[in-house]
Amino acid sequence: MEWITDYFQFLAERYPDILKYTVEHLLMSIGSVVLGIVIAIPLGIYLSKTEKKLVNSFAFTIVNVFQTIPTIALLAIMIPFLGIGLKPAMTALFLYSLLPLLRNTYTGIKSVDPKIIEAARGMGYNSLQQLFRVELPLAFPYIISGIRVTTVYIISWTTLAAVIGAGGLGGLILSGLGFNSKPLIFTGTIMAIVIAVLADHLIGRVEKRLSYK
Amino acid sequence: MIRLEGVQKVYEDGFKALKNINIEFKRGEISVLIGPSGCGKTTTMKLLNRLIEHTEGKVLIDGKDISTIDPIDLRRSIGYVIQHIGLFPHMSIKENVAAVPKLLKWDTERIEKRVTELLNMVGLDPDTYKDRRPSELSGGQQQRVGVIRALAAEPSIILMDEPFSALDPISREQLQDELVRLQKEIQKTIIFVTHDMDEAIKIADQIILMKDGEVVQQGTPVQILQNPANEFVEEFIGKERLQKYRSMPTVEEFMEKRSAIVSPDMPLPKAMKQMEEHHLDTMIVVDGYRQVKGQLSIFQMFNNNDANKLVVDVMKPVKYRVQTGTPLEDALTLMSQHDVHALPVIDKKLGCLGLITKNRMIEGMARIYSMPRKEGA
Repeated sequence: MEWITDYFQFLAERYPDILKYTVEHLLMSIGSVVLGIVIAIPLGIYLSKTEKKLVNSFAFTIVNVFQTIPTIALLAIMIPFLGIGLKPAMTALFLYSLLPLLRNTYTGIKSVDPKIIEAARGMGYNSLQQLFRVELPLAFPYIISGIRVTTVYIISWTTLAAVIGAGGLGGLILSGLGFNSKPLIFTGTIMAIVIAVLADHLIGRVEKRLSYK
Repeated sequence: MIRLEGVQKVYEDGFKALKNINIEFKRGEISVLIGPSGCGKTTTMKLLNRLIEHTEGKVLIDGKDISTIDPIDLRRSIGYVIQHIGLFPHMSIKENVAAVPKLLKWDTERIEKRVTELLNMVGLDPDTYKDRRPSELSGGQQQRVGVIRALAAEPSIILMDEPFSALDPISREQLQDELVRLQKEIQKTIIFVTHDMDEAIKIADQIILMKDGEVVQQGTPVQILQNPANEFVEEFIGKERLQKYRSMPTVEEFMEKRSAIVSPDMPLPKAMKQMEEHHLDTMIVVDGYRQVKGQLSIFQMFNNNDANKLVVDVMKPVKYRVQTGTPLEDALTLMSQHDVHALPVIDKKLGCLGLITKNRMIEGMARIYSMPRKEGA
C-alpha cells in the first residue's frame, strides 16, 4: 500500500505542473475543436446545399485525405511549414476534427425529410428561416454527436502534440518516459482519460437537453 | 377567384407536364383536382404557390398575375397542407400552428388566441395538446393540426395535397366529414388534390379530372357522374359507382312542377290559394323566361297579409339550387347543410323546372329504402 501514499505525495509536490499541463491540454483540444466547428459546420451546410457535385466530392476527398495521414506523421509534416510549438499542433488537430464534423453536419441536413422542407417552403419560410428554424434544429442531433465524437478523440490525440513541443498532458507522459517515472506517465494518461470522459458526458447532457426527441 | 389561362409546364428535358390548362377555382368552393398519378394534378396545385413555376400562360388570383407577387409573400398568404402531414417534429403543436403567424410577425397574444381558437375548432383541447410534440399524437390528430396550421394566418386560399391519403380509413372519413363541416364555417377557396374518387365526390363542389397534363372533364360531382365525358372518365370513376348513381332516384322525379311555381306579378291572395291547394309551405318565383327570381315561404305570407301586394314585393332571394339529375341523397345533404326546406331544380340552361321539398323527399327516400341493398350502398 506504500505506493499509494507515495503517489499522493508525488501529486502534492507536482500538482502545479499537472494543473498547468492539464489546462494546456484542455485549451489546445477545445481550441482545435472550436476552430473545426467554425469552419466545418458552415462548410457542411454549404456542401449539403450546393448543386455542384464536383465541389462536393473535392471537399470531401481533401478532408478524407487529412484523416488518413497518421497523426504523428501529420504533426511531423507541420514542422517545415509552421515550425514547432502550439501553432502546428493545433493546425494538425484542427485538420483532424474537420471530417467527422463535416460529415455529420452534411448528413444531418441531408437527412431532414424532404416533405418537411417542402412544407416549410410552401408555408413561406425564406431560405435562411428554413435553415435556422427547420433544418438545423432537425439536423442538430447529428451535428452534436459529431461534436461529441470529435471532442473525445481530439482530447486523446492532443497527447501527441507534446512531441512537437506544444505541451499538454503528452508533456507529462514524455518526461515520464525520459525520467522513467511511472507516476508521471500514469498521471498524464489518467488526466487525459478523465478530461475525455468528462467532455463526453457534458456534451451528452447538452445533446439530451437540446435535441427535440 | 383563381384562374389559369393557357398554362403550360415544360421541363428542361422537354417533358410536357401540363398542356394548355384553362380552369377556374371559385371563391369559397372546394375544387378537387383528381386523376391517375402523373396526370399533373399536384403540379397544377403547386403552380398556385409557386413551388413550381409555369412556363407559359397566366395564373391569376383575384385578377392579379401571381408571377408579379414575391413567392415568399404569396406562400404566406396561402394555406398549405401536405401529404404525410409534414408537421415540424421539433416544434410543439402550438409552435406548429403558430408557424405562419410567427413569420408574419403577429404579436404573441394574438398568436396565442388564434392557436386556442383553432385547436378548439377541430376538437383538440388546447390545454392538453398545445405543448405536445407531433409524435405524441395519432395520425388523425396530426393531420387535424396540419389543417389548422394552414388556416392559422387566415388565408383565403388553401391548398391541400392528398392530405388524408396516409390515414387509416376511419380517420380519413372523419377528417373528410370535418373538412366539409369546417368549410361551412370558414368558406375558403380550397384546392384539394386526391386520387380517391369517393373522397372527391364527398367533398367537392367542383371536380377537375386530369389525364396526361390535360383537363379531361370538369363539373360538379353529379354532372361528372351523370355524364362522363368519355371512356377514360367512366373507367376512372368505376362502373360500379356509375351504376349506383344511375339507379339513384333523382330530384326531378320527385319535384313539384307547375304547382310550386308562381309568377312575380301574382297577387298574394292568389299565391296563398295555390299554396293551400297543393299543401306547400314554400313556392318558387319564376319569370316568363323560366328564370328563378326568388322564393316565397309561408312566413312571408304570414308577415305580409295584404291583398294589394304582389309576390315580387315580398319574395326572398334563393341561395341554393340543384341541377337536374342530382340524386335525392345529395339534395338532402344540401338541405340539411344549409338548413333550407326546399330547393329549386334547374336544368342545364339554368331554366327552372320545379321545386324539391322535404315533404316530397319522404317519398323518394321510401323508394331508396325499398330498393334491394347492394354491397357498399
